[in-house]
Formats: sequence, C-alpha cells, structure tokens
Amino acid sequence: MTEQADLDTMLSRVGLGDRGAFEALYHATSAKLFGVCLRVLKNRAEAEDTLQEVYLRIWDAAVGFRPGQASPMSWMITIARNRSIDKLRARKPGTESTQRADGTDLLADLADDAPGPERSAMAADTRAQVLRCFEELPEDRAIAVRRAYLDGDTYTELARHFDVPLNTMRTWLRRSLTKLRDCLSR
Amino acid sequence: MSEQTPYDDDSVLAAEYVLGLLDGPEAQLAQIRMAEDARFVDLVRAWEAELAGIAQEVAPVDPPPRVLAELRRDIFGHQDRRWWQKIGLIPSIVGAAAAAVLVLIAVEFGVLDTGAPPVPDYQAELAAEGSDLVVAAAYLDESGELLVDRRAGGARPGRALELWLIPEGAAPISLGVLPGGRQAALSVPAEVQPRLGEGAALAISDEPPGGSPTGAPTGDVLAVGPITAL
Repeated sequence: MTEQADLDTMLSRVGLGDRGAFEALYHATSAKLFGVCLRVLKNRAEAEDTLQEVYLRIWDAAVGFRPGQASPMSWMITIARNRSIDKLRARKPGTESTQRADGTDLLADLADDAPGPERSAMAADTRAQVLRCFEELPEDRAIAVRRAYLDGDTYTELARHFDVPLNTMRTWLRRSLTKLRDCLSR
Repeated sequence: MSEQTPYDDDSVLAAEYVLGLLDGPEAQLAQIRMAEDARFVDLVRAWEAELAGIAQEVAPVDPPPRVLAELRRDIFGHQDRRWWQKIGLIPSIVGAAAAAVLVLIAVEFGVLDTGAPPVPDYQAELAAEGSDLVVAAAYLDESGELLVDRRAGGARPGRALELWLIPEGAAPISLGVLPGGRQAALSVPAEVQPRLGEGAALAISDEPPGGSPTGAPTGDVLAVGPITAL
C-alpha cells in the first residue's frame, strides 16, 4: 500500500494539473476505489462508469484537497462511495423503495459485510478505528451502519430489513451513532 | 420513554447526513446547514473521514484498462481545458496594465541599467478563489529574470510562499521561496528558462519555512495563473 505522504504529494501535484502524478495516483488507488464502486453498485458496467466519474471528480477537486484535514485515501473513498450511492439511488425508483436492483452479477465474488480473511488478518494497529468501534456495538447495529454506508439504505429500508417500526429503527441507530462517536473520540 | 430519541447534538445529525439516512425536510435542513454552518461542515468532514474506514473491509478489484484509457481521453484530450481554468482566476489585473507596472518595477530593481526601460517578454497574474494572495509576475527573456510583485496577501504565520513553474502537462519546477518583501527579482536557472513561456503557468504554494522538503508542492495552492506573451 502506498504511504499516505506519497498520496498527499500525488494529490497536491494532481491539483496542479500534473498528468504523471494523476496516473501514479490512479495506479495506486484505483483497485480500492473500484472495489468500493462494485461493492455499492454490484454491477460491473455501472461501477466502471462510476469509477471514471470518480477520477474526473478527483482531477477537478484535488486542488481543494487539504492534506492536514483528511487522509487522501479517506477523501477519495468518500468521493467514490458518495458517487456510487448517488448512482444507486438514481437507479432505484425512489429512495424509500425496498426494491433492490437485481444487477447482482458480482455479488458472489465480493467480500460481504461478514468478517473475511482480510479483516481477521489485518494487524490491530492498521485497522480503521471505526471497525474497532463497531465491535462495541450490538452486531445488528453495526450491520445497520454498514448497510447505510455501503448499500445506501435509508431508515425506511433498514426498518423493513430488520423488521422493526420506523421510529424504533431511528432510535436504535441514533443511539448507535452516539456510541460510535463516543468510541471514535476516545 | 418517547418513541423518538431527540438529537444529542449535531454530531449525530452529521452522521445521519453522511450516511444518507435523512430524507424529506430533515435532509433539506441538513443541506442548508452544509451551506451555512462551518461547524456542521467540520462535523460532516470528520464523519466522512471516520466512516471511510468501513471501506477497509471492501476487497480491492483491478478495474479494466479501458477506464484509464477513457480518463486519459477525457482529461488530457482537450487542449482547451487547461488546468488553471478550473481554479477560478480573479481577472482584476489584466495584461497591459500589469505589464506596465512591472516595467516600472524592473527599472526600480535596475535589472537592466542600459538607460532604456526593459520590456518583459512574458507576464502572469497569480490569484485563486478562497485565497487573498495576488501576485503579478513579469519575465525578461534576455536576463532570465522573473520580477515578482506581491499585490495583496502574504505567507501564513510561520510559513513560506514558494513559487513554481508548471510547464504544460509536466510536474512543477521550484523557482524558489519568495523573499519577505513585496517585490523580488528571481533568477530563473538557465536549464529551466526554455520551459518558461506560453502554455506554462506559475503557481504559489504554502510551504514550511525554507520551502517544500520534497521538491514538489506540499501545501495549499494559494495562487496560480497562466503565462502569456506580451
């Protein structure tokens, strides 16, 4: 994995229109961002188009990236995740719908939310803090946050998935987010 | 117990916004706060950074080569879409007037003391949205001198301003850290001189004292502008 300082430098150069730096950044990060697009969209053709849009956005927005404020990888993952969720929702008839799109040709190949070998093999100090904090939540609450982040579930969809009333779902998740925040700020 | 837990504070609302859980009026309200409330924006950015950690569980997948091929075409194929056009130049100081002022500066500096005022060959006006730094520059081909006039703004406390030449489509080349004064004459190294001309640009970045430790810009780009012939 490319060091954060290298990515910082690459992004700064991309902000100045350096094409070589853009290609280096693409080679260092595109597999991760494509993984995110695929995981959210579960459709290869859509994920490829979305990835292209994500890097166009990175090319345009890199000049505004502030190295001190965010890690370059988090910044790029946020762009990839948000763009993918936007695509997913545009595909759905409405965000309130529970009708999931069924372009699931890649679902089987992709790591799901369950702990995989990659996760268990990951050294504790390199694991994202949010994943460590998930362990302090009841398992279904952590799954709910993951579903919102990676599947674009709204409260309505989550309530249906967990078969609880909408307000219960809200209460649950808000409490979980408070707990998560407390853990993250420790 | 009430059915609905009230918000503890904005942090939970920010998390709901980042996750995209909100809809209807709640979503609209959050959208408005994103436009107006800097503290809320900070909370949102912090949650974005934390929640991005979830992607650690997502396996990387190599994209097919066509994605990069199409990106190259999209980004590099259009010569008219020059990179500095994305930055939002402030067109307040333009062409002839700026050049005239710089000729006076050139005389002040005594760059050429031949009696006749020197005529710059190229000039650039550097500025950027969100930054108060405005710098005019003029280049004298004959002497290889770059005259720099800082019109507004300055280095951040404890930081330095570093000037960069950015040849079209290539990596920035440092022209050195700007001295503290308003005006300066910098010598452009002979091997760099051929690359300074139309199509290239000048930029100023925020750097630690003494300049970038890496040889490439590391801080914010505070001002940028295309080089034009006079």
